[in-house]
Amino acid sequence: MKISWVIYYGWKQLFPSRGGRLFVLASSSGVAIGVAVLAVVLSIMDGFQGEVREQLLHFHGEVAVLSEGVPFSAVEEGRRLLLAVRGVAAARPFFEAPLLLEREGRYALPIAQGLAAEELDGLPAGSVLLGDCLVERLGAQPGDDISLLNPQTLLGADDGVVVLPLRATVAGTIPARRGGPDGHRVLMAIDELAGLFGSSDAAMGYELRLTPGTKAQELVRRLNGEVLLPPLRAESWMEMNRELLSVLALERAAMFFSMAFIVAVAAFAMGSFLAAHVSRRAREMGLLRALGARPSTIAFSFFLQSIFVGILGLLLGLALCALLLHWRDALLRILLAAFGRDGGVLSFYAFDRLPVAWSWWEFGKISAFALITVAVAGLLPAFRALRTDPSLSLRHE
Amino acid sequence: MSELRLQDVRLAYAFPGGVVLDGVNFVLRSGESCVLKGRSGCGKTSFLHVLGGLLEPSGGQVLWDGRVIFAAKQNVLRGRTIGFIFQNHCLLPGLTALENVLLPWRIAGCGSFRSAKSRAQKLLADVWLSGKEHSVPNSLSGGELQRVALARALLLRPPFLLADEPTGSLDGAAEIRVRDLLFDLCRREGAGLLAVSHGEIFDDFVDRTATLEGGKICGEGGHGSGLSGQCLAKKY
Repeated sequence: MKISWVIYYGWKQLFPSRGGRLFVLASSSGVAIGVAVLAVVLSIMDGFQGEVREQLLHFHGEVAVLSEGVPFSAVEEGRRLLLAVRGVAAARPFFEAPLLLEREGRYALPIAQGLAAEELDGLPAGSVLLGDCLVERLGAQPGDDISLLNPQTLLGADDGVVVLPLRATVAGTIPARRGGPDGHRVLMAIDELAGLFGSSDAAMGYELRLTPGTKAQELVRRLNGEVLLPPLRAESWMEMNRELLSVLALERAAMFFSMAFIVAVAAFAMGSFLAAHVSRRAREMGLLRALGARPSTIAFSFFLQSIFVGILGLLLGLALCALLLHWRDALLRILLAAFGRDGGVLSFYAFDRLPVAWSWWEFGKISAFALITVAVAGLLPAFRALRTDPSLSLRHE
Repeated sequence: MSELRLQDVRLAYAFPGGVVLDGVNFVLRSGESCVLKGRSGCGKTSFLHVLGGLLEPSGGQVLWDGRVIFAAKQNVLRGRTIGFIFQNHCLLPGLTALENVLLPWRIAGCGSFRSAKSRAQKLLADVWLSGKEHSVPNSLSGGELQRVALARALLLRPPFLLADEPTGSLDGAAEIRVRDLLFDLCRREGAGLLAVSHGEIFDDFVDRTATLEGGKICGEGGHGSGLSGQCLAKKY
């Protein structure tokens, strides 16, 4: 089978019959390192974002119906109404409010969340679960008693009514990412928490679990447009956490931008080398013209060399990324040991291993970026080859 | 019989300025040989490049059997019509001798690989390099490099061969060997040969001599003592 001379010539430039493969090795390695770093960083960032997403969803579900901080009654009736809406698989009432905690002269003012008994895995009456930050702040251990008080009652004590604090037993801690939302939370029975705020049969909202295939935003639109009356309003988890999600998206974009520079530097270093290579090979360009080659095909041959180096670098980079992700935990331990740190990094985030998330779509985008960058860099030698004057280059020195 | 013709060709450079060719008329026919002489810098190489379609003249035309040869679409046509030999062999360093000889076939895209390879091997044998097909240019001597260039120039059986100081980088026996091979193969292939030379090494072998001076062909003489028709291949 006859190979186009353009491909043949480009191949022979990269892999001459004897030796001289250093350019290919060096250039493709540069692209490979850039692609690997970019892919690894984005995979780890996506993994972290996935873990944060899971924690956010665990906290409030995919859709929440909120009352803007105003307790409402007829909780069960509202729950039945929501269950009748298409796409809602379950509706869990909750009560959420700031609570003043006290134990042996130590105070904390976290947000308390009251849930139905079946959501609390058999939490005994009169018991609470504390986030690990609260445990540390109050110096409380499972079995200790703490006092719970509605902060509003302190402002409303001028009518002569004294509201006694509720005594509760610490039943356990809420395992969570340290410093994350669960670390500063209190979980308790909804009727006990609502009772501190005036009525044991009250709620401040519902957490909705969706049927498979139901889109959160679409359900929110239907609820707000057709079902709910003010002050009740539905929000998706994305809307409730839009600031956090925006920050995470910005971080990811910044990391992509930073890491992408590595790929660009490698690609343009290769392009510059090829462009200089063209200058040194001006006589060859002239010869090819003398043999009947068109300037455009000569230029295309150099462009193809760039593309080939880019493809080789991309494949090596993706393979290197796969290896790094596979051995990420061992590499992390080595890095931590090298910098004199212990393994507390993972426990800080409540992870048992470094989270990663990857998709073919993301790898496709990285690959496309790398190839486009390499292609643009390949235009440098191609344009230089186009401008080579065959007559001038063939004059003997 | 084919002919390459310069018809009232003019060539002027904007930098460093000046007219190099001033209304030149010249004809090269297949089967005949000619040496172009002139003082250094008079425009011999430019003349050769214009005749070979590598340099577009400022005026006039370059014709092959009546067809304009410089037209953009005629690149491949030029590749099949004209063989070039340069003072510096211009072999591609990453290719073996055989691969270098086959390069015109790859660009022209005509015929099968088998027939092209067979012809390339025969030409390498004709220039006494049959054992060095797989040698790279770095491992060949100056004379051997120029012989490979000669084989490459003749691969596609071009009717014309343009040689710019083909023995200029050689000396002694190598120079004579290359000269003899050049004329022997051109006569055998029936190719018209125009060689640019400073010296007199070709004078006794060519059919005519032309001198370039002041941008014009100011003198054309008949062939010298002539070894036309004699095969020199067996001499060495």
